[in-house]
Amino acid sequence: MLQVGLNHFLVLSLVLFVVGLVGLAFNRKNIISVLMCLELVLLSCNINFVAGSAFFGNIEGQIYTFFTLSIAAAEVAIGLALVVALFKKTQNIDLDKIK
Amino acid sequence: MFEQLIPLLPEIYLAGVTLFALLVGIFSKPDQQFKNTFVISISGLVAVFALFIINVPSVGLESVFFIKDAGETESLFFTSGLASSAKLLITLCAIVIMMISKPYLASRQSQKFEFNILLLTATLGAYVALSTYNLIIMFIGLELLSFSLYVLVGFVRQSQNAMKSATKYFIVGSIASALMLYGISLVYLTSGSVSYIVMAEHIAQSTAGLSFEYTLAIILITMALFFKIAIAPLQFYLADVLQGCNRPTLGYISTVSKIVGLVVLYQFWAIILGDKSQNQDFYHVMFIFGLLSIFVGSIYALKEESINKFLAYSSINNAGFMLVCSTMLDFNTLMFYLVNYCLVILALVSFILSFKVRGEYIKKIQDLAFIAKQNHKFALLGVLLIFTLAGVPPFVMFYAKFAVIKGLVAQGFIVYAVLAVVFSIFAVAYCLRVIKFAYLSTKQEDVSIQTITSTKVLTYLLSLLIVIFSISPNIIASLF
Repeated sequence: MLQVGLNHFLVLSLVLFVVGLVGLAFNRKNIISVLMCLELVLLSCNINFVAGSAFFGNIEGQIYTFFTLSIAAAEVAIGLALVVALFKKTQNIDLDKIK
Repeated sequence: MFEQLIPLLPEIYLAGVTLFALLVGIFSKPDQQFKNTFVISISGLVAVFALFIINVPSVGLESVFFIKDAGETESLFFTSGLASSAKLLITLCAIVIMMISKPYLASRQSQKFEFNILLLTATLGAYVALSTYNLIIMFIGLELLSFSLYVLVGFVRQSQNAMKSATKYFIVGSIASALMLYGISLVYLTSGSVSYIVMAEHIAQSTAGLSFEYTLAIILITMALFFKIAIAPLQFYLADVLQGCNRPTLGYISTVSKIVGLVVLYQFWAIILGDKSQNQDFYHVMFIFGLLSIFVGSIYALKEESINKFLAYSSINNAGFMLVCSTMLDFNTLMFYLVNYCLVILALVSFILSFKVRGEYIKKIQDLAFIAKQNHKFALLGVLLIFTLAGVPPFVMFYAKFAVIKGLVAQGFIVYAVLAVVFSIFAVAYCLRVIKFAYLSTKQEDVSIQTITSTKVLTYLLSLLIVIFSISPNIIASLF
């Protein structure tokens, strides 16, 4: 039977990270989906922290996960506030139009 | 127990002042809000400045103070001479920017007290990022700094450009921080710790060279810091962001985030690479990045007419020189350069904000012609400040650039030194353009020019400092 080890989690987080980055690179339509891709990248980091915490048997990784979660929440809050303010000014949130 | 917290005093005090200013701002009458928080913030920053002067430890990375509860390698906070002098400089920049911002915001009809609070939180974030050997704490500090800056860039909400710039800065900055966090999580996954020192031990023990995870992690973290400093291949966003951003925040971004990024980079490399920084490949790669940003900065500045973009490109140019200093792990030159650079940028920003042409702040370099017609001496001061930024010999930036190039030659990188000199010549070419715009243009119309006295006095003070340092550059070296 397959033993799930540290490497599997590493690969999982790497896949999530790459999916998030590809989403960031190719998504030019609107800012909300950019925010979602960013969240995916940050969550892939969390998987690394939690997996490391279980593997090394120390609690630090889980504490770092909480730090990361709160930072991600703050980041999305600021992002959404900016999107709302931008929408009030320009009536669209298309990334291509900003540039 | 509390004696351990004495080195943390400036940070704790600043956090307290921030919360106090927020409370006062909320509970004051609407017309008093800005004034009250302004007074509290300025006095708080001055007090923090004094605290740093009182307990500044001796120079360099060696004298490190740890809070030792968790053991030396795992401690979350430290101070050193390098970090303290960088923090002193940051405090100075924050005070000057706050003084500049008051009349500016009043004339843009957005004098809200949140500006002061956000400047304080940004400063606190900068302190936190500088005073740790722990990657996660460093990350949290950087995020506190960047979150405040995202809001500050879009602070003048009436302007459509400001909102666009803020959104752009937010997207680019958060991509950079996501990359950095992934790098940090890779470090944790390999070594079970996020301390620089544990990382350095792992690297020193590995005989077969760096492992794949570590290489990727170091590349990701360095790249994210390059984004914050705006080093050449990753500088593309800076000009557009600063174009729409309000001027006090422009000054803050181009001084404080550069100081933080470069000093963090310096500490990171000094600890994790240690003696391996003799590695030639590392030097070559970093010098190429540095020279590329010197090149890009000076070439793009040549054809630029908007003052904001001009400042953005010359800050990219200078970031290249500073990257070369921190690559060579040369503490004194890095601090010397940073002090000069910050002084000149602050003086220039306060210069362009100290007068209005036809009731508006100037946007293009050509508008210097109006001020040159009415107030010769003051316009000459501005031209000389631009000369200083470019590094023309009698002024202090020349000594800084000279020290960098001398360091390059001393380490045996003659080709890079020659290239740096050649690229600097482009930077001098735009000084000639500024003279042409200011004195040789034929704008005959008479326009009304208002001056803003407080900012003008600040400009004179900063220029006086620059003059003193130009006459005897050794003063700065003896400060640190």
